[in-house]
Amino acid sequence: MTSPPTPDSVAEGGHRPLGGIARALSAKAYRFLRALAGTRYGLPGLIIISALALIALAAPWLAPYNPLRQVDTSAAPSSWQHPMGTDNIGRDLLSLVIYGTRASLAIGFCTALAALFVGGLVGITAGYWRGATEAVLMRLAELFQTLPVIIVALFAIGLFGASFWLLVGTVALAIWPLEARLIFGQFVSLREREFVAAAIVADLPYRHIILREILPNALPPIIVQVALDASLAILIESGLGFLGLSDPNMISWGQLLFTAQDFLSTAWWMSVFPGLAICIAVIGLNLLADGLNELANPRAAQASPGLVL
Amino acid sequence: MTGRGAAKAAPLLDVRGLKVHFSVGNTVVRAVDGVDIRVERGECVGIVGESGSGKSTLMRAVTGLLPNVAVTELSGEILFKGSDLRTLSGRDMRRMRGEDGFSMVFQDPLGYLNPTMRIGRQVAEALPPNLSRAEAKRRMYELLREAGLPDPEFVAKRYPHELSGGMRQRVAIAIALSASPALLVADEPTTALDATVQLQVLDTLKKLYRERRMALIIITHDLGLVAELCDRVYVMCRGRVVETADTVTLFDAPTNAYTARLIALSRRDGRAAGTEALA
Amino acid sequence: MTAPILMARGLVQTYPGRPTGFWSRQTIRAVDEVDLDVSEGEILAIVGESGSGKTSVARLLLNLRMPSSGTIAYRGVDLRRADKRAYRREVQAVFQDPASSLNPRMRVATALSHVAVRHGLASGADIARLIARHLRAVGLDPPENYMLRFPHQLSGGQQQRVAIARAMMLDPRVIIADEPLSSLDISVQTQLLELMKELKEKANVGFVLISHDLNAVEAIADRVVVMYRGRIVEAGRNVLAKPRHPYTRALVDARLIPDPKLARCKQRIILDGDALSSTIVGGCRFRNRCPLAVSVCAAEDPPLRPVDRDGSLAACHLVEPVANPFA
Repeated sequence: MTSPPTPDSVAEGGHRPLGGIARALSAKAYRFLRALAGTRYGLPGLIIISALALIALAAPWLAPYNPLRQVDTSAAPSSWQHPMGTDNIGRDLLSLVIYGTRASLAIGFCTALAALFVGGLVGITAGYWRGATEAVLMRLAELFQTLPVIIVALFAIGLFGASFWLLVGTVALAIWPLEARLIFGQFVSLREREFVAAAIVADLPYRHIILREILPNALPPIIVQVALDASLAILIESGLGFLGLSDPNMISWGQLLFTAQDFLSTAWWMSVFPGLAICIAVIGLNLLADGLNELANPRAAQASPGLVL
Repeated sequence: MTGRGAAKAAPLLDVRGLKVHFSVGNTVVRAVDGVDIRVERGECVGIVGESGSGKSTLMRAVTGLLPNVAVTELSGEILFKGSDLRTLSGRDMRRMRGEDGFSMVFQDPLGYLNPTMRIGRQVAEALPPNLSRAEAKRRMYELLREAGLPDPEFVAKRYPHELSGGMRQRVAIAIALSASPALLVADEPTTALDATVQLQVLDTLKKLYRERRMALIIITHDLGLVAELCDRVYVMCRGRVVETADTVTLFDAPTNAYTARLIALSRRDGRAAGTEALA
Repeated sequence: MTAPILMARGLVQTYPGRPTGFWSRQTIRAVDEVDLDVSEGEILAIVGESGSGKTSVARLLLNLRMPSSGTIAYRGVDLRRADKRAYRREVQAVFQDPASSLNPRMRVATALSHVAVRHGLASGADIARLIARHLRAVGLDPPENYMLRFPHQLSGGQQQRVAIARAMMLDPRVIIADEPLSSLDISVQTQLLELMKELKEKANVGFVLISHDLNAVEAIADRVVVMYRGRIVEAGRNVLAKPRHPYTRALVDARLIPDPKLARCKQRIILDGDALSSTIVGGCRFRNRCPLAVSVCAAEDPPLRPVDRDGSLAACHLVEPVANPFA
């Protein structure tokens, strides 16, 4: 924990050495998580996502069997040895679902971050400079928003073959316009605020204005959107996987659903358990987003500036 | 008319010992801390104070419109025509906002006029429901005219954002009048308006007060407004009433130092003399 | 008398308005041929109601917007080619809503330190001392109490003082204050007006005070300019004491008097309508509300010309111009 701010340390704020920044950020992160855990929906969301993240990280130790190895009779229903049953080849479904957490969460977060990066660049540029830049960039965003993800995925996979990063790229292509529009809207409205005018009048460079004046104030809804983007990415990836477009070398819930298609009536557990996992992940992320939203828009009685960042 | 002249007639509004406390973070804000207010029928009373004095909270407590925050204490009596408003059910409270009841006008009408509905319809909506369409339309034009709008037909067809601030405020007054209230509470009615438009709304309020013999409560920080309009004044500071008197006495001989300071500040450098008539 | 720091000539700012046909649009002239001089050590007040264009003029003078036409000269050089850095140091601003003119997520000291560092005013430990000095100069004493606070932890008056401190840090020659008092209590307003007067007297700082509050303006202004729908309709040193233009007279008359005996017997000029509701084509823009309008008012737009020996100007056909104003 860093020491509490003193007038001198805060006044030197413009020039914190790198180590100082790291310490300051971790202190802020701690406070932020605590605040999030205090909200009504944030706490269950945090619990679910943390649990899933732990499962993903500890998969090799948690999974009872090697997920790719045929271990028992095929298509066997739940039993003590196989709580989720086995799939059509005889692999343990529980281990498959556990390992599937890795790919699905990874795709979810990587895609959300990629969308944030691209959408952020576009949104900030269009929102700050407006004019022709805005016209071109926002039309571009709208164009991408109308692209049907599945067709694009089909093309991409047909051309390059399915892989983790290709999937991330494809889904990010579908999602980035959402972030771009949100960030654009935030920048457009914040740019008109008087403290930005004051910064311009004080001759502060535009890099400072974008990064240190506008962006911190724009963050709360953006962070909420990132959580929602992640849940959307998981859903899209599952859909693509269901259609067989997932990376065959990677175990993901969508892919498990793909294999389960032919056995919907005979081995229902093959589709239900992965499906359940997808639901839990999406619900968890949405709860997290709700919790973040509560932090971002505090009740009027509390005179706080919103997200404790 | 009851009230004026009658020696011991019950006041229209009688607030006794009202306290409204909020919890903000880990402190308690005593927005209103033991306030007594009395308004007779047909009187115009001003409640004056700076920000944080509690004047708006006081009126919101009376009209049942407290903001959705943690209220730690709400005690005292709010007697309107004899009944304690705090103990009334939702239905009875609605009746209190109807015929011969009370009505409110707020500072910024753009915030509470429906932006997607034409003015005429919004005013008509506020009328009692048992009127025929023709009758409602007639009353609606009448109300708009009474509120000081010279061209009601024009205004009725407009949407709120097409009107200026002064016109919107008068529409708000028309809506407030639709139920023929005995008491009209106006919270900073002219603060957001231009000076020349302020005069128009002030003129409307004066006429209404005279012609309808309606009780008026004006909540404001502007002593000039109070001097123009009100019979009696309550001065509030930090949740308490620090002085009350009829207007002339208050301005001539304030007994409280805070009041004296407010009056001196509002006059800035000396009293404003009357201006010459426009040649 | 030093030369004015800023000289605005023929400033025009137009906005696209409501469409009148399929392809055409009305243009709204928010600022319509405005000439202004801004000097050190002088408090110039720009007065007007909504739609007068006074806030647009402020934004133009601060180079926050480009005028549609007209020029602003900074120390004699057209602003488009002048030394922007020097200009920004000498011409500073204070805005209307103190809560939003400070970044809600920055502590007072952080916000002020950015300005200090950008302009090389101090470094390292000296920054805090510099900030403390300026906070003290605007009446925030002891400064340590305020440096760590976020804007929402300050009162409106304190926020506005921080804004003034931020402007004063650069040792400007002129501060353009756009409605700095409107959201403040009257006691706080008085204190801030006193502060502005003090800064003018001690540091020779000039102010452009944009306000709709005639009482405030009367308290500290040296010169007053009255604007109506984008035009200057009257200007001078005694405008509020001796108003000549019918609009100025209505404005002065509209002041509410905090004295019940005087207020009740006063005959008032009540103007109809408001500043923005109708479009005026040709002639004087005030004629639809002017109680004295005659036929020439519809034909010609009155020019701003001298109407008194003391240099007052007014734009009205019915006010007699003076041939040789006292220069």
